[in-house]
Amino acid sequence: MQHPRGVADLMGPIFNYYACRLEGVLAGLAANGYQPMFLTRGGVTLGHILNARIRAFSTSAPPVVPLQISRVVSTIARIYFDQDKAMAQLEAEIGHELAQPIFQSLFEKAFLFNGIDITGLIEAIPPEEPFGRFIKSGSSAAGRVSAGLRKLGEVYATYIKDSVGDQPLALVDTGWAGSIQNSLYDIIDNPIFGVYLGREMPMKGTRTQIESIGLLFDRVAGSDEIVLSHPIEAISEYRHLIEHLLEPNCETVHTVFPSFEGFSTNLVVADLKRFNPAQRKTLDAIHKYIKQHAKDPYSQIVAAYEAAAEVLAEKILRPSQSDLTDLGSFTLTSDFGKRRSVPVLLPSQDRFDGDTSERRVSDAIWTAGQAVVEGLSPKPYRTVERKSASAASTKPLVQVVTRTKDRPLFLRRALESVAQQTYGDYILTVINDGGDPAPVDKVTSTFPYPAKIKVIHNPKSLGMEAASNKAIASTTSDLIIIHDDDDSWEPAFLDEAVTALGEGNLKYDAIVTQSTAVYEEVLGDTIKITSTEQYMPWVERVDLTDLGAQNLFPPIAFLFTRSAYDAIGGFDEEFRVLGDWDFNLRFVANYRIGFLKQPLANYHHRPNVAGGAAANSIYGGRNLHSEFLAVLRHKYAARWTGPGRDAIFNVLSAGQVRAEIANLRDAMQQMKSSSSSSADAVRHCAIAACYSFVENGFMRSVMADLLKTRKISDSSVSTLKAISERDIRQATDLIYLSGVNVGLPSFFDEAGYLRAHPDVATIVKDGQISSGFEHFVRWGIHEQREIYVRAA
Amino acid sequence: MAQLKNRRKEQSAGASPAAKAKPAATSAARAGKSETAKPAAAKLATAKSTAGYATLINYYHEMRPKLVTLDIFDTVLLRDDISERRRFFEIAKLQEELLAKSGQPVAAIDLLRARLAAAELAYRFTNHVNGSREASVDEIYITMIAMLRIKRSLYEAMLDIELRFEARSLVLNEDISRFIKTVQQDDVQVVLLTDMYLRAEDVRRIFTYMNVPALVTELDLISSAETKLPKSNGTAFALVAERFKLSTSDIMHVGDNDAHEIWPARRAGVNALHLPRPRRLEMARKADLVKLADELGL
Repeated sequence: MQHPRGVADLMGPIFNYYACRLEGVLAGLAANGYQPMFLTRGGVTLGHILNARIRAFSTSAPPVVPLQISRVVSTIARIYFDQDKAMAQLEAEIGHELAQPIFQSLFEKAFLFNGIDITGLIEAIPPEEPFGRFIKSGSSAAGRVSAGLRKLGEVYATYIKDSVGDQPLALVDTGWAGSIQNSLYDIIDNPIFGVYLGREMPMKGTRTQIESIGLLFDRVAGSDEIVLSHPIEAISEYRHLIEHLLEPNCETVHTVFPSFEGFSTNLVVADLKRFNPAQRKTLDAIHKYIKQHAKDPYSQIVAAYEAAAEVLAEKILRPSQSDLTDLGSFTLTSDFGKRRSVPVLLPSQDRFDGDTSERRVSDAIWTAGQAVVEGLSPKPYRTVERKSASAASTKPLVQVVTRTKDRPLFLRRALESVAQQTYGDYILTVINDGGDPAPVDKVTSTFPYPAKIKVIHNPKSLGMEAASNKAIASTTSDLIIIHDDDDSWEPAFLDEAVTALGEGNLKYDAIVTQSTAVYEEVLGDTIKITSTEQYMPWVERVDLTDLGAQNLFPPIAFLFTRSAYDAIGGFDEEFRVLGDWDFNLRFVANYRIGFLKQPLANYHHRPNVAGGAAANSIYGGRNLHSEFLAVLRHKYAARWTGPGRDAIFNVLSAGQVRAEIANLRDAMQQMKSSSSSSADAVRHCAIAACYSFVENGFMRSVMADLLKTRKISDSSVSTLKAISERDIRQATDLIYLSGVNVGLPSFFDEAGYLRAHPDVATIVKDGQISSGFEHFVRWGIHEQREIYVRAA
Repeated sequence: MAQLKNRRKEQSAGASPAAKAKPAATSAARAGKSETAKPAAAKLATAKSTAGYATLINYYHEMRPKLVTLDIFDTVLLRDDISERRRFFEIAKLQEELLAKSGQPVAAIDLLRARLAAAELAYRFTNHVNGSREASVDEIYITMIAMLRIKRSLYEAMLDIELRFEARSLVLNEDISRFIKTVQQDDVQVVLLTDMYLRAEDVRRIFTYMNVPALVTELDLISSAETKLPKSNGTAFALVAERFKLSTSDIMHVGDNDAHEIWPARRAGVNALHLPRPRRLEMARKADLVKLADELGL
């Protein structure tokens, strides 16, 4: 498609549409008491564009009320309220600049205006020292600068407070990150709402957001995507095009402030004479277009805007040679009051030894334009389909948490696993739990979607569970999954799991998929897979009773909702290993988990590695696992009182019993088949087992509690019933059918039981069964017959 | 745990009777669309819900709540099977006539598009309250009117057209009406709770235009348009609990939206009964939306 129109022609329809939306939003905010203020310098120009629209309807336009402010002024004013935060901001902006020239550029005039003594100060600032190091040096000069900045902060803050009064503010500006608004939150108490041309948002789902709206676009900072239906987002790839257009060529407020005499409103208000000829040409075109088209039917305004935005996006992202002249022939003053000015496009020649075309593209203000200058291809963008409000709200955001520590080899594989997902709505949070940050930064910098990855470095290891909680707290995603650095997914994992979770009207709060156990070895810098098999192939559903015996699925296969995570209190940070089992128990005790019979998760094992960074926690931490069961049961017996406690304690205990029964069964079968003369051994084993779980073991105490106190909850009864039906029956049948004379446990009142149950007495008398106790254990307990316990 | 399990049991119990709903009654109710042609407030149109009175009352008896909250749209008042966007377009056509008579001609399609844009903006310029943004109809209209530069004096008349149209598209749920009567006999309070851009006063005007009986109109009515506390994040239930000095577990909620009110209610500790919209209705609305998009080239 050929687009003969130049940038001046394109801006008319774009700003006509913008002005329409701006008027609507300011009216809506005004109904809630918000009064508009237009930030110098770009916001004021936007105010005049709005008034061009208003005047097109032949009505008088209200005055554009400017708030004369800059990022420098707002940062300095912030010092008065929060010195640490403001100084950190200042350091981030100018810390690497040489202290002497930056002082002269930013503060010298202001110090003088406010009577702050600078005699000998400039000479005392070391000429070669960066500002960040200088201000922390503790030198006398640094002390004088700090004191001066505090005083200046007070003056600026007072000025700002006086300027805004006490009304709620609708701040109109170009926008982007909204840093002035962010500073103002510390300076004034007024409710503030930013009304911006466009916003570059923090990563979707992260917690740091300011109250604002982007009238043309909201885009995730650093995103590699352009939404097809919002090509105007391309502006954020070259926002200086807009900034340059809107900012008059006059002093910024901090260079004259607070010399009010020399800083009249006229100086910053959009007096067209203060724009250079190229700016003026475009602004004239915008005003003329609005005058002619503001009254167009709304659908036409939208259509003209959409057509222009599409062309502008093409010019910004994939410029032709002529676009370079049209969009890139100007020089920008460096940001934040620095005195340098830089051309938008650099000449294609090395600036220093080792400079490259790629480096210049990376450093350029307009990267796609610079790529064309260098003869390179502009950065590719993923164009994504329309996201309507309803579609956006139904597609949940997944947070993928990857815990890592000194395992860059695995981490690289994990990142590939995430990057290959066909489901795109996720945030990957890599949490480096006390490992060396450099390799983690190196590996994560290769992740192909930089807008979707966030890295947290813990200076010291917090432990796996605490690391998970910290990472999870850093976002507000709908869904969460732990993708450990040594595991991997099939590309369809997230897509299938999220879909399964959404089916059936949120029937489930989590989805577990089948897993493949992948056995591997680390050989130097490579990982060799030795074999694979289905992990726990018998698992076809997730049931609390089964989960009490052993963990049934690895974290890599478990996608869960944040609301459920919050409700059960997250991961228990007291556990060094197997905290996931503990988490799963609490989850299953309170929420429902769907099981997806597709092996989409890969659970990697390195059985030959006993310890060190490459070990699995289930192998490297083997000795810790053996301690875990007791610790876990203790937690639910004594330490933890949250929802599901009874049930979890019971299933853990039942799990132990079931494990004993399974061992018994195996032992007896083995002995039976190995030798016909092993009857004594079988008998010995059966008696031991019977006593261990009936006479001396857990079951006796639980049954006695149940029978004596009758205070155990319904869930305990149902759990015990489940144990009885599925396991005790098996064990007791096995014991009695093996012909073993078990005898009578000491606590059981045989005579009382037979008296109470004459039908049982009859079959005992007939020799069909050995005792009333056998009847009780094999049938009576399931028939809910009364049991008789001897008096203590 | 036991309580949680009970709630889950009820959820499935709440869902399953939907399959047993009386299709004839439901169809008849939906056929009440013909009611839309009748003059406002001529006669109260009623219909039965999908799950029926028995489901409601059984759940109520099991939970023994101290207070009942009822969702309004698609629960107390049942909508017809046209899409929301079609409804807005029909309203825009009526508003187009008004504007033409007032010397401010604006085409219905422009009214519709500006209204959709204004709603999108209004939900974004409303400040976050507890992580949620809730816009009200006046914020939407004021934004739309400014975008189209319509005289502010026409706002009330335009809104009235919308509320009257809404009234004609709605019927009172007979089962809910009967349920309210039963509950009130037990001296249990009933509160209407909506996540909606319409304010309480707007909903009450719809009641008036529908000729809804005092049994419903005299109930407390809370709209997120004013409180900015929606059911969707659970804060509306906390508000009700605080206002009536109850625990959330003392409250029973009834609504049609699983994701935006039933689960949030349960997470807030409220016993919530799901009365799902019939799937047929959902499909019809979606089909209508697609048809309208084709018709208007949206």
